[in-house]
Amino acid sequence: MTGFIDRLYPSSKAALVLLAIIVGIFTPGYILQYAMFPVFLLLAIMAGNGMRFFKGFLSSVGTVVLVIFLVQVFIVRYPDSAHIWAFIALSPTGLDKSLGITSRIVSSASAIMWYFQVTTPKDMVYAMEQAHLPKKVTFVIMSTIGMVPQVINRSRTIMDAQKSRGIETEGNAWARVKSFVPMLGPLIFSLIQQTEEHALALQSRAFLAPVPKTSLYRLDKHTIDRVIQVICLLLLILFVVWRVWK
Amino acid sequence: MSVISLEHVGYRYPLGREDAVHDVSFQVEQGQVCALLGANGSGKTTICNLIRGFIPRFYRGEPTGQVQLAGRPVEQYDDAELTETVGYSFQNPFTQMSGVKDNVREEIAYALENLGVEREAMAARVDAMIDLLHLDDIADANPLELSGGQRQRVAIAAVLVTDPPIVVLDEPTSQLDPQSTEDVFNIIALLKRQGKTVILVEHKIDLVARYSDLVILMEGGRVAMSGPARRVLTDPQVLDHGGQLPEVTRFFLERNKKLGLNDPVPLSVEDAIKRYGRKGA
Amino acid sequence: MKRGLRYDFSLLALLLIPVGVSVNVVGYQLSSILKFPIFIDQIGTLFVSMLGGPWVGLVTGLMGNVINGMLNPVAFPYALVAMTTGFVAGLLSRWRWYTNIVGAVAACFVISIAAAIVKAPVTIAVFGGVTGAGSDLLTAALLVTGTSLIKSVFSTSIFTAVASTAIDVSVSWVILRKLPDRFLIKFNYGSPYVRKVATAS
Repeated sequence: MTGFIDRLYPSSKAALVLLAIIVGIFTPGYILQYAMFPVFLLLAIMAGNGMRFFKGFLSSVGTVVLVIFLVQVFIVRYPDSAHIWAFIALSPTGLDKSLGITSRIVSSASAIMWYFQVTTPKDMVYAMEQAHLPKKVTFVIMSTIGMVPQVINRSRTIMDAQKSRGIETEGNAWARVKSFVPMLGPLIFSLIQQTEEHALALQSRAFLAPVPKTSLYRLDKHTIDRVIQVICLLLLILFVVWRVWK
Repeated sequence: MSVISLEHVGYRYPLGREDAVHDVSFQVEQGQVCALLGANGSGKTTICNLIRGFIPRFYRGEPTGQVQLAGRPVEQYDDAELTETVGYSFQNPFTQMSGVKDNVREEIAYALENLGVEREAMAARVDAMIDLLHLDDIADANPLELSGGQRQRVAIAAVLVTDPPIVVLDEPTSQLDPQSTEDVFNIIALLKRQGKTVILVEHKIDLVARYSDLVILMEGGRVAMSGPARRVLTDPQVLDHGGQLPEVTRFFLERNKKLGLNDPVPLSVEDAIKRYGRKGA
Repeated sequence: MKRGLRYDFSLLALLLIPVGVSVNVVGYQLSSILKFPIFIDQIGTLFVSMLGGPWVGLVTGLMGNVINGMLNPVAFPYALVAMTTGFVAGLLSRWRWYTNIVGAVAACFVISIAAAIVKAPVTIAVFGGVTGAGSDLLTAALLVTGTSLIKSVFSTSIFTAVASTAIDVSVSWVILRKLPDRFLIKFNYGSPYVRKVATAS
């Protein structure tokens, strides 16, 4: 079962996710939206990613949802706010509102997080290339995803050195702002310096050739992908009709 | 007709105080290995950039004189034609990886992908390159996690994969250990046998002497000496222009001077053994 | 001079985008080491906008949030803010605002106001006014004094945008002014920052 989701074509997963986001945002109420979290958790478990999904969700979405609840229910003043203690008041309107907001954050965030956890950038970009997106677009996406972790690794040494020398974390704001320069400056210099030769190297490997790119890597679309995409499209049409009809 | 021809070529980088190269003229014939020698900043890389058309396509400014490839001015070539005509490998192995590939095989294929080559043809070419540069053990490794020397070999493979008739190698061995250096020079010899024209910037003078046909010695942006390797690299004047001579050559030049002889001077150890080995020096 | 998307997205400018995003991330890590109470996460976007112009700046802002959003989807809606920051900062570079200190200071304000104008509606529409960031304390404080939600969020947005943009702009500006001329000259929007005048040939 684990392989099933891995074998899905990126655009099939994207269709599923888009459908979930649109339905989540435009369906009234909050039950369906909250229900999407267990659904995507299940889909993540099917992809062998359950724990990672659960932890990632808690750390990124969990706090946001909690804060929104507390502020909407106890702090924002609505006409029906009942004073409880000091600056704290309880409001049924606020409770309603926070359920509406947080349930939509939960549904959209579950879908997006699931997508990026079960789809590798490589597959995503391959699908984009096959969909004839400009080479420059896929290049920027892929090179950014590749470069960030490398630079973080490289900067770790710089930062450790600065920390051990004891940087200004106490002094006034301006002194702290100034300490950015010696730490980021050398990093930026070396990165900018490399762009020139990198540009030339890419050119000598036909980056600017005006022909459609091919790919040594290969990812196949199966029947199941077409089925999923068609079903998602049909469901979307049904949903739009339902929402407009009412 | 020369494959590469420079006539009275001059160029100054934007904001430069003086010309990077000045009145440079030379020709390279098909199948020749031409070594560009000279101190750092003497204009070697600038000449490579002119041949590849990076000047003035990438570096702004107006070159003077004329650069021709196969009898056609380089400015008349378009980007794809230039890629297919001139393969170019750079000094720094770290900036030569595409940055968008997670294994060596695809890294090598990148130029072919950009040229729209079909998958099967591509796979065959890539396998041939992996064989040629002995990359089998790292074919599935991430190019960004390789050592400098390994990356340089991958970079050379990634350039040769399109099978260009002209190959520019700008200090290809500066990051390599002696064994890999030897490998690169074996590839240069192979390219020569395949009839390719090679422009080589290289400091390891003993190897240059063994493998190159033509030598251009640059000094301060000008051609100080040029001609067949055998003639230039046995001329003590090379030392006056900031160049180096092979060890063996220097030994025999000294010997001739000391003993007042006028014996032919060998370029390499093999050469010396062939000439003097039996008699003893 | 010919200007257009094709001109702006030269290969060299394209290579600036990952550099900008990486610098954003490192800048953000640094700001937490330096214990700043606000997010300093757009130094790279600013820097790239100055050298690459409005469109490259916009894409840098977008890519930063996309990369971040892959791990933390809450960041996605704020891509709009980063895109605005990059775009406006790039426009000001085209108009040569950063060539002197007065222009650079004025740029801080223009960029922060533009960012706040986009940020407040996003915060309200998507998150109902609070997102769990440190600056929410300020919003909450304003709320308990009886200020309306919209006013509170806007005040917080303006305040945090001015503070963080001032730092983003000044750090990237100082570093830009230290770049050697031979780097600057190669970028489409770099020539105004070149100090030395080319010697006549």
